[in-house]
Amino acid sequence: MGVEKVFTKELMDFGYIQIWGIKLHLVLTDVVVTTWVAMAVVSVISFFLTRNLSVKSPSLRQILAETVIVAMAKQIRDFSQTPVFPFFSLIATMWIFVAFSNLIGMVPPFHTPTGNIAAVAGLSTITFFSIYYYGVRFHGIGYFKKFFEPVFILFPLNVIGEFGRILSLTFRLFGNMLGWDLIIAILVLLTGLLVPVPMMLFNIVGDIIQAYLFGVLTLAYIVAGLRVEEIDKKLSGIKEDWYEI
Amino acid sequence: MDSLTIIAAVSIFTAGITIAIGGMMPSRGEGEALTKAIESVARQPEQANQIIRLFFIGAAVVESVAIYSLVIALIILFANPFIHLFTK
Repeated sequence: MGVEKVFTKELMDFGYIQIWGIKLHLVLTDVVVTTWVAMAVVSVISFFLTRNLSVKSPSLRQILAETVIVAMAKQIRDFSQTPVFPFFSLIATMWIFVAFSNLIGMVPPFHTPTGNIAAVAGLSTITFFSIYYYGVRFHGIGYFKKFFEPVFILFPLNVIGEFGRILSLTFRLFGNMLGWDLIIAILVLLTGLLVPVPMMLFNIVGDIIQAYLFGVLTLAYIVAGLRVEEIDKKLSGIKEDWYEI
Repeated sequence: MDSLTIIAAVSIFTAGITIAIGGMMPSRGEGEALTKAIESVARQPEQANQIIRLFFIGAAVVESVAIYSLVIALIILFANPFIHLFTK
């Protein structure tokens, strides 16, 4: 089967380890290597884009970086209707990293790391804990009262719904990426080498859309539990005019 | 006709039916949502950015149902939980 080359490969096996009665299977897959390569690429590009910044005479590099940053800030501002300062670093980093992880599968030696469910579950775990981090940060411990709304009896359903949202976020990214890769692999298997090139062009669009949706749904889950008017009052000291052109 | 043949045939048939039905119904819903979004943009062109953003988010939420059926089909085809009972 040529299709199975899409799935994750095991590079090294470190055997089993026993911690607190839990048996862990330590294995190094190519997903780890690919995500580290993506992180290195993002870091190097960010380092070179932020050298020699100036207000008076911005270079072409600086204009490019500022365009991307301002566009992301405007998206977050339109969606959340609060000052973007608390959310900006998390959501923008998530957008950039997920987009690079999706697109690095086009480079020949790599597989798409987001086509593995463990990697996407790690990203969704960040989303899950950031919801409660922002909730407790802005509303204190009273944030958890939202589990008992509208009546006390619905507490289990609220918990199940909370986990279901994260599960759907995980399966959306994972299924989309694996689906695109499988389509391309099956087309290569059936026809020839150059036939899937238009499909790969569609793949680029799909990857960007999925990365955008992952960040936006993270922001939506964070903002959905917050009371925006109180946060607007709380953050009114922050003046943000750097993305309003 | 041994057990392995029956399991393989039923698995392939079920995967096809799963992705067929699970892809048909969400695409109907997404088509209706897209129709309404285009009508709204034609009626209020100044709100186009917000309408298109809302449409994309809603379409992604609907899309996840189809993705669930794709995941089920992939599990049936590539990680079948019952096939190891009959392969030595």
